Amino acid sequence: MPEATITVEHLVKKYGDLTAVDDISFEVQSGEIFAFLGPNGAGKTTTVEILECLRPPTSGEVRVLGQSVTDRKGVEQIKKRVGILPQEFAALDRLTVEENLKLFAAMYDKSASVSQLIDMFGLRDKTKVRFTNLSGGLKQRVGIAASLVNNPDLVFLDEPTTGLDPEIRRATWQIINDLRKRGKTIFLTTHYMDEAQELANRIAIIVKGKIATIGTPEELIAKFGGEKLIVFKNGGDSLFGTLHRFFDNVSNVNGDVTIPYTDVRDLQVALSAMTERGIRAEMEIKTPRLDDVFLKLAGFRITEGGEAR
Amino acid sequence: MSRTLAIFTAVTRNWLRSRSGLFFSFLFPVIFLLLFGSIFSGNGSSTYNLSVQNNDLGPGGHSALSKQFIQALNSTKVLNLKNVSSTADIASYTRNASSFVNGNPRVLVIPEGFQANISKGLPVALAYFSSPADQAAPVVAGVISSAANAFNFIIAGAHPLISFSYQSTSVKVLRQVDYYIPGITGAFMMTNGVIGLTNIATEFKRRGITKRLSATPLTKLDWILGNVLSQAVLAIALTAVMIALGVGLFQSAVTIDAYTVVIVILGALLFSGMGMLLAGLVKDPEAASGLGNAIAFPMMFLSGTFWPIEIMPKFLQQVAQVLPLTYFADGLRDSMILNNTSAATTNIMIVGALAIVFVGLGALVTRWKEK
Repeated sequence: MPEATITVEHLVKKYGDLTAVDDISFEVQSGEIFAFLGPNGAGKTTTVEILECLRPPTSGEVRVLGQSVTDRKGVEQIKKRVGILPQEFAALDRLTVEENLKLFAAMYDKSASVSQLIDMFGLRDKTKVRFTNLSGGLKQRVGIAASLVNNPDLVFLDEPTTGLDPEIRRATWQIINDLRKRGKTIFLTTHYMDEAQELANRIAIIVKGKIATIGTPEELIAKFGGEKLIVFKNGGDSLFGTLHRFFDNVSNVNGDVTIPYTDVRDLQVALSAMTERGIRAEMEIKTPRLDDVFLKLAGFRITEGGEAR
Repeated sequence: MSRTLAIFTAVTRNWLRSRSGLFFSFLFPVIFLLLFGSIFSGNGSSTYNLSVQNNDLGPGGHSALSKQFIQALNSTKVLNLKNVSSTADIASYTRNASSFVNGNPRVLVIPEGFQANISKGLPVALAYFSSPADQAAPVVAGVISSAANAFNFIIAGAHPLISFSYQSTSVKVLRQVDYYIPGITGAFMMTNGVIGLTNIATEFKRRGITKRLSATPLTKLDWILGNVLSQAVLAIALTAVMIALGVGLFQSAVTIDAYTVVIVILGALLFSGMGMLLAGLVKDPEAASGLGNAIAFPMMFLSGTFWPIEIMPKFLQQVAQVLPLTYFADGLRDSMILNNTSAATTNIMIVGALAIVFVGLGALVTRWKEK
């Protein structure tokens, strides 16, 4: 089996008394999108910056593209072959999009065609626009383009859509999915559940510097998401009373009556009982999502801004 | 090397496209030069005001001797004399004639009996009134005193044995504007590094631009060289502009030679090293900017860029001795106006050594890896 693209074993990062990353281990395989999902301050960016050779680890073994991040020669090799989108990417304000991309390209011995990147990211009509005059979404797009100027094998995207409006987030997801199709390995950090679910092949849930679990979104949901539920909107007390006779686990929260869904027979039983008594209610089947996995593992949810709630 | 050049091109462009950058690094020094040049472009032929109250009245008006004395004062061409009526009270005259713009008037009083006493061989005392805040008062006192001495010689029938003629020590005829051009050039090269580069470097750091670049194969040395090179080119451009304006507008005698180019480049290294040092030590851009100003402004005024160090109090002269700008401005004057190559060489060596120290310290504190 070939060596994994990233191998992290017992990584610890301390700042004085504070342990930002607390003994984590994981592997990222070539060609996958691997997401680090967690709230602000969980240690996501610290981990990414150690992988990018921007911070030294306190202890543990970290290998990226077969090289150690603590080895001088290794760092040189890694820096040539990785692409980086930092949190809140910024470039030189008074240089144009094209000039900034050319600046980044000039940092590498071999670089991709800046002109092709401009076309790929739909920046053709913005080439002569100064970075400072771009919208947040466009700045981020320039940042992703800049992360690809060296044709990297591995791309780190640290919170790539934080602060962007929903439409631009979706467009950015499209770009990231396209990167995977072109064979890039992607290490993504995010505090957005939907982003991890939409993009990641595998997710590591990180809470307070520790990895709570790692797996594909489906595995995580199957393992920690809990059961599917049938929800009758505004079913009220009469429906609750009716269903209570057939099911053990009926709940009534603010008039919404909920029963567990194990197979289709549950639905048949519930509907026939309702028809018999002439009760009508809007119904939906609720499948567990990553939010539920996260809540179960972390004990809290994450706000839009990335804070633990 | 190609990375250094890419950084050089990018940061220089970024600087030149900034209005405030351009203003502070080029326009501001030009405005300074125009102001100083206009004020001081003459040959220092200023005159001083002096009010004279002649109390030596005879039956036919003022005595002949007192009039001769006033005539002697007038013939110095340094004084702009004004007559004060002999009935006026000096205290109230001074009060009334004082103004914010002109300050307190200087008054010379020729006493009653001036001619009569001198004829009898008795001493007479002239009274000279001036404000302690009046910096030109001693100059005027000197003029009065030499006029009085000339009278003393004549009365004593003596011939002065010592005489002197006034000559400039420099081969070229220098004017004050010639003093200011190297001074202003040096001062603003200093602020470009200590204030300008500090601001830019902290801003790059705060916005993560430096960090993003450090994630590429760019080395810290490439980054520092690119920035320093940019400052050096801007410094040469500034020097050229100042010399062109000085020669074109004020017929200044400044010249540019190899020594000038060398010291300008070394000065640019020195002050960009200081800028990097400040930016490396202080995280917050506003604090860095404040510190840059706090260092740059006293240095600007205490280093002999606008006035000679000799006129400052002793303790400030001692301060000037440890300020890098003192040697840089001195070296610029040596090469640009005095053509004193040996003095220029000494200053080049001092500035060069300081440049190595500060660029070294700047590189040391510039963080290329987080903690």
